[in-house]
Amino acid sequence: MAAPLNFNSPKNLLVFEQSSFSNEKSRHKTVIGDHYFNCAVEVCSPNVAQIPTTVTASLSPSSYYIVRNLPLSRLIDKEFIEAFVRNGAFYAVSLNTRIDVANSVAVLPTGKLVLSVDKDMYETLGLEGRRSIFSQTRERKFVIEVELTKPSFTPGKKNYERTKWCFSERLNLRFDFVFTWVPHDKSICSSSVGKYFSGMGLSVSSCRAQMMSNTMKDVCVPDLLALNILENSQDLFEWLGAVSCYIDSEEEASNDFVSMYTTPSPCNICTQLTHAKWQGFFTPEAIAMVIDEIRLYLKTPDHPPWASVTVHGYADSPVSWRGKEHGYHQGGENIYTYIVFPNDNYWLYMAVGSHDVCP
Amino acid sequence: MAAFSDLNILHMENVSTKEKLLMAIKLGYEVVAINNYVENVLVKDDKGKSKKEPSKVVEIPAPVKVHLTERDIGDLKVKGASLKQLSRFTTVLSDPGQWRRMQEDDIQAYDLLAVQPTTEKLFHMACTAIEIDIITFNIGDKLTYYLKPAPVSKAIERGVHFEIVYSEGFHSSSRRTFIANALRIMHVTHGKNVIISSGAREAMDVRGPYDVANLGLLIGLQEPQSKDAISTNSRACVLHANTRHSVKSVISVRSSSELKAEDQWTVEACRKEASEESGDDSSESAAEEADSSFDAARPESKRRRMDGV
Repeated sequence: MAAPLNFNSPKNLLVFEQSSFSNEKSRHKTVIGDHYFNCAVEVCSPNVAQIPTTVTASLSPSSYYIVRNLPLSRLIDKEFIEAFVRNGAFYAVSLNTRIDVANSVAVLPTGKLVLSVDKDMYETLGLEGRRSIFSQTRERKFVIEVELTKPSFTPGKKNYERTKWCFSERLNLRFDFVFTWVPHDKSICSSSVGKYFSGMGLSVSSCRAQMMSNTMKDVCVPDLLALNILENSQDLFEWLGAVSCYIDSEEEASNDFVSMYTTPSPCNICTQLTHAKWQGFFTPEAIAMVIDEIRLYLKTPDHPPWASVTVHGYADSPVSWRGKEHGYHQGGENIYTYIVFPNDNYWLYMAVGSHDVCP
Repeated sequence: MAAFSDLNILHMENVSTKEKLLMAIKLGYEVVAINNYVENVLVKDDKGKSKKEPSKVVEIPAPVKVHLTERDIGDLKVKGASLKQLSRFTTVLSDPGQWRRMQEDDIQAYDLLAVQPTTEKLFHMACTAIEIDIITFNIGDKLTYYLKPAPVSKAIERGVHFEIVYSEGFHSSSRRTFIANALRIMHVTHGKNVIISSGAREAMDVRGPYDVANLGLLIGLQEPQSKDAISTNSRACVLHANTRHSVKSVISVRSSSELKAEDQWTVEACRKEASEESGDDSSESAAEEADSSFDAARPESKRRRMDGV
């Protein structure tokens, strides 16, 4: 009676690239720089007892701020735009908002305010936007973009006044935001945005990245030099995921009830494998610094054969790479991983879920 | 997309409903309907008596609302969102006369009305004629009648929703019939106007929204439809229920003091307009502070379009 069912897994995408940092055409800088909202960084390396302090030093002090109940109209104040959005990279993404059921807002460092709103909100808000590319068949989500740094976006102009009215009078939209600011002028302290918001009577809290580290002894590690990466790239990515979830992938675990996962071959027994994870809110600049520190570290004597850096993007952010639209279907992953070798070569993975554009 | 909703949390005498609600909150649901199930709303007297004698009145339980503290809803991942509790009344439709009983105030006090027809004729009636929101099935048992496409398409046009209760699929005895029945419903509705709900007898029967959406694939829904079945369609169903309490499902009247602060200007605007029309006789029009523009739903024929989000 019923049509035959086919159970395809939800559409997802894994992009693999290999190149070298010294290659002029290598796009590693844009991949890092265009991924604005990063919520976790993982570093993994074999044959080291602990993650080098230079890497820890570049991530741990990165502080970020959480502001509660920030009215959206505050973000389009001319004073705010002139002081912070124009004079630095302001990264902000709404917190505790699920993009697939409700609304999500982000301010990109390019000076763009992006709102991903549902149909109800879109129709009551009254700002012009476009339909989300992930809901073409049925109207579910809409994307509204406001260019904050455009010269015409200024008090007195029609568009500005309209936006201001929509955000403050039409619907008094308030969100919790996690934000950070990197000023162009290094002499200015990045905490001044927090001061600016708390001066308005908003509750602003400063947070620091939290680190978790784990060293596994005598574990099976794939031999990356002997691995045919073009054929087994997925297996290696899966193994990195297993390491970050602390899955027991020893040979005897293959009969286990919970997980039958084993390390892909060829593999060697390594005396130790160190894995560290930072959670917080990281700017692309901080990630680029980590990669540079890892490259330097791999050039020191007694260096490990490779090190991997995995960066997780916010699952509920309205954008992923280069301001392209991002959504959440069964999962909202937007992850990239660099596997760095001592000779400056790197392997790059970029993984996105079904509601995302190819990075 | 709308918030995730579970429109069937069964209220039972001996099992804590609060526990089930807390589980639903923990899993990320924001709209929950507490279901009062009454097997039969009409109990006929013994056979010997004449038909003219009134049938015994069945006591209908009042809608249940569970009091939740601030701490209980703290688990809701979305800040600022509070759990929306609805009440739902479900009965088995085995006699056309039951509909008259259901129109009385004690049953109409519920937010959502659902029926479980037992014969093809009553199914036809539920789909095409009577003002209900949900048609449900005893999905664990074999369906005794054939689901015809004509009444189903009429029901879809009217905005009536078909319910699939997934907790029946957990028991090994009813799993086969659950899948068979669910596939039959899918076959005839093509996934339109289908809601998936838990029908939870105990807290362990509730599953997370993404898991339920995944289960929807098993019973033949496509991926976006599957997520709609627990979010958008449920929302449309609740909106459909709201129209039942309005005049011809077009106008509803409420006090202007209930309006939100940001909508208060509409009252002023209406008043101004009315005074302009009737010259200087403004005192009379000001007395009627009815705001109809905000709760306006559309007539029956347009209702489906309104429900589709």
